[in-house]
Amino acid sequence: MKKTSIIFSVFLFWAISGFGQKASGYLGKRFSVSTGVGVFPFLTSDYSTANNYYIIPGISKRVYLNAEYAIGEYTGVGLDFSYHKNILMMFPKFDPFNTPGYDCLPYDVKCKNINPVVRFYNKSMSPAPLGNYISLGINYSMLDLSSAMLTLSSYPEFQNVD
Amino acid sequence: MNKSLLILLCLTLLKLGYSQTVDFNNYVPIKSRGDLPKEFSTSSLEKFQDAKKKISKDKSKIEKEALRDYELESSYAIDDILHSGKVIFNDTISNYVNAVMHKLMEQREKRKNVRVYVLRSSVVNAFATGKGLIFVTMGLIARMHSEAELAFVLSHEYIHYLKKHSINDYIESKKAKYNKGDYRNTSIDDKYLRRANFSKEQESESDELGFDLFTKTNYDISAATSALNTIWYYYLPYDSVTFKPSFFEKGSFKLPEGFFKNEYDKVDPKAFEKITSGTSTSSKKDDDEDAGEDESDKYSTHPSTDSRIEKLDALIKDFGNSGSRSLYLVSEATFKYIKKLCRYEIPRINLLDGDYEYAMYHAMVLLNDNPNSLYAKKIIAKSLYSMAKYGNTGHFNDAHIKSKYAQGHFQQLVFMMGKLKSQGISAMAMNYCWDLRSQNPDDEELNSICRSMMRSIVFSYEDRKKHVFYKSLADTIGPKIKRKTIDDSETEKTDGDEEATVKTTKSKKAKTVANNDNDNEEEDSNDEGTSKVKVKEYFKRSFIYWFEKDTAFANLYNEKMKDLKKKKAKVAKEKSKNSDDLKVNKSDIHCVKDGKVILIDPFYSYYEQRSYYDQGKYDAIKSEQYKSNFTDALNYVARKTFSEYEVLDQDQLKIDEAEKLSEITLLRDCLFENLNKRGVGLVSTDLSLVKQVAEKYHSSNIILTGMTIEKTKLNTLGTQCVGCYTLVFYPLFVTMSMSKTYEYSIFTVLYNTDLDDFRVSYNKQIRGKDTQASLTSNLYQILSRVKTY
Repeated sequence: MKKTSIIFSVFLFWAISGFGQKASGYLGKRFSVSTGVGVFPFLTSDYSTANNYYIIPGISKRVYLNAEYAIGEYTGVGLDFSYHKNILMMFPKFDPFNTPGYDCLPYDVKCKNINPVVRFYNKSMSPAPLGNYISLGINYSMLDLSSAMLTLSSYPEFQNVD
Repeated sequence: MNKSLLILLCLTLLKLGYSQTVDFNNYVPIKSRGDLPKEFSTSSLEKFQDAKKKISKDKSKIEKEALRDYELESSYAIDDILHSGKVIFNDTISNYVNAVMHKLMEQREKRKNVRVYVLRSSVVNAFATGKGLIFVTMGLIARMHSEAELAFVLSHEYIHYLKKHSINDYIESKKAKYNKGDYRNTSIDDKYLRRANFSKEQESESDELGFDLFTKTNYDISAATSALNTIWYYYLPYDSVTFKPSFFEKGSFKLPEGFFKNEYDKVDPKAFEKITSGTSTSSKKDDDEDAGEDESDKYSTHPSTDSRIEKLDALIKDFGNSGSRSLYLVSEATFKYIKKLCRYEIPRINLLDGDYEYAMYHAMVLLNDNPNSLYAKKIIAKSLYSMAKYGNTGHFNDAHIKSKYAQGHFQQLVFMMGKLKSQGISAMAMNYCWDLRSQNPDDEELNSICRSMMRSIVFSYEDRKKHVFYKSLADTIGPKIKRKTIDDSETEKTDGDEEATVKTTKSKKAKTVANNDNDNEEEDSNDEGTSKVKVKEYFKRSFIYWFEKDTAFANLYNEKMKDLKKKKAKVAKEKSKNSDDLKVNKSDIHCVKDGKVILIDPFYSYYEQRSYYDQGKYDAIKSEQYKSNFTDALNYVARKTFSEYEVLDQDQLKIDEAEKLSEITLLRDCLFENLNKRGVGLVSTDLSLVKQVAEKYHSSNIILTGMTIEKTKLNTLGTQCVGCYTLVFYPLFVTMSMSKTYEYSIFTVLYNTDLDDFRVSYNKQIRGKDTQASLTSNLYQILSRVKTY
């Protein structure tokens, strides 16, 4: 912990004072926040058994919040937070209870990502935070499968098994 | 009605001519006055669209295309001239020339709307555009002998316009390019020949019909041939003046024997034509010479001047010159006055163009008429100084013309400069400039020049291992300097202090100790350590007069020596700092900080690559259309960056802002002069005028900025080949081959009038399209740097 805090302090000091550029950021504003919503279609085929092969279409929703501080003309440190949620467009027709190894479905999978990054912007383009960049960071994901666990209530076809 | 109009025009002209009290001793360049003419305020795109509507649909396809292209190119080309700042209007010269044009137009029943503009150029030329604009250069007016000569030139140009020669010539060039009409199945040689003949026919037609028009006036028709004669001598200065070497011998400087050519080539335009066309006059026989002349004349767009003169002579004989004709119909006094104005303008233009020997000679002509003209003396000082600076930076040939291209007395001057070279001219310039400065100690320009000249000498010759300078100057500076001025012991003593403390005893010794040639050789063969001593001796020798007479000179020398020491100390530091792409001349005193800045004439150029293998072609229409995006972004960013700023944009001028146009031109000329001669580091030609404008706007910091954008194509063939090889990615490569990329660059320089130098220059290249976000972001980055440095 002590080691981590030292590394973090050094990083913070470097981030704040290391790049004494005069005109960082967009029109001189170093701190920028961006947010957005994304909806992406996807196909999943992860429910194949020996006898059945399924391709199931789905939609992934994404909400993100991004805060960035330009520490140099072409360098920025940021913290990205995103929230994903997957929704299947149809229900599989196989019997998941009798399929070994599958006790949940990709239905209503929720995921939270926290991603501290350092972005290096392309010097032949605009100064940070515009243009292309290469980012280095750590991605910490929190997958929430609690609502994806196979229950009778979430799978109406098997409600009247008994 | 027309007569009364003409009388009114003439009266106005006379009033204008003499209401101006021009001080020729301290001459100031002419400025445009009054309202901006319509041509200046209408955009090029509007002009093009109006002209395009008038293209007849009955023409053939190639003619219609050629006419459209002609209108497009000419609209923008003419506007380039009009907006270059070289065109003056509503001034005495323009009004007079238009009055002469009006005299010619009186003879025509159907009058065309013709406007004549005077071009601030030293070139001897006049030309007409297809839109009824005739341009006459100051170089031509300065050489004219009478108003009638000017009238003939105008009548010749009027015929070019009336007969639509420029349009026809353009269509002809298109036909030749695309092998249409008479150019089908012809060789390249034949094409050139036909084009040249076509152009010559037009010239002959203009001469003949122009002469017809000219004869209908009461002008003396013999002026037609004298006008052509005037044009024939275009390569010479506008007048001839004899001069002696003593003219340049100021202070201790004496021109050695053999450096002044008493014999010179006689003035002969034919000989000049042969030299410029590469035909040697001496090695060929007469027959060969004639053949060479024909050969060089074959592909020319104009008939040879002597043949034109012959034809006109024949026409004059046929017509018969009656006695009632006059050389002047508008005003003789005004003609002489405007000719004088042009003659005073030309040396300044020569200086700006870097034609220093011409500038010097023209100034000598002016001094011949007006020996007290400080303006002319300063032109000579500036020319000598500029040539010395060019020489000291290793670019002497850029400032010097070869003596074979000069004739008459002008050749004597050119020869002398060529002989003196950089070292000799440095000594001559320093002595001349200091002599003039001692007569005008408060003149800011002369002080700047002397400081710069001294710095150049100290910095250029102090550290050299081989002091050729010293050796040549021992001869160059004359009898007084040929004597040993300072004995070795005393030299070492003063050099120990590294200052030039010239005592009165030195002058006594200078008169007594003779220094023969053997001594010189011995000294020159000494090692590096002692050669430093000799260079210091040189300074005392070549400028001994000023060291003895003027303590300010010694002080300036000592100051520059200290600067040199400081520079040496800073060299290592500067090298480490120069890793950035910004070139900075730091000075806290002149820092922009919270001060006001002037943003002059922002430019925007759009280039588009039609195919991968072509170069980007300038698109004038898009450049004009998209420029507003750039100027809007610039205004927005400037508002955020600077506490106070002013944009002087030529395209945004109101109709009553003619004075502002002159100011923009002056500032822009100064900046471009500094940009062009940047490696040499000259004091600006119009420094005092520029400072006046800067004071008017309360700012010494001037920013010139603009951008160019290029739309390029990817290599279609290459990408598709790679795509075929990797079939899976073929759609991706097809998309790539169809896509276009953008790259734009923003150019910015900050010029400080107090320093007379650029403080910051920046040229940033950015990949991608110039979106508003990208543009403002990059502009802010650049202007912030400009502000903080």
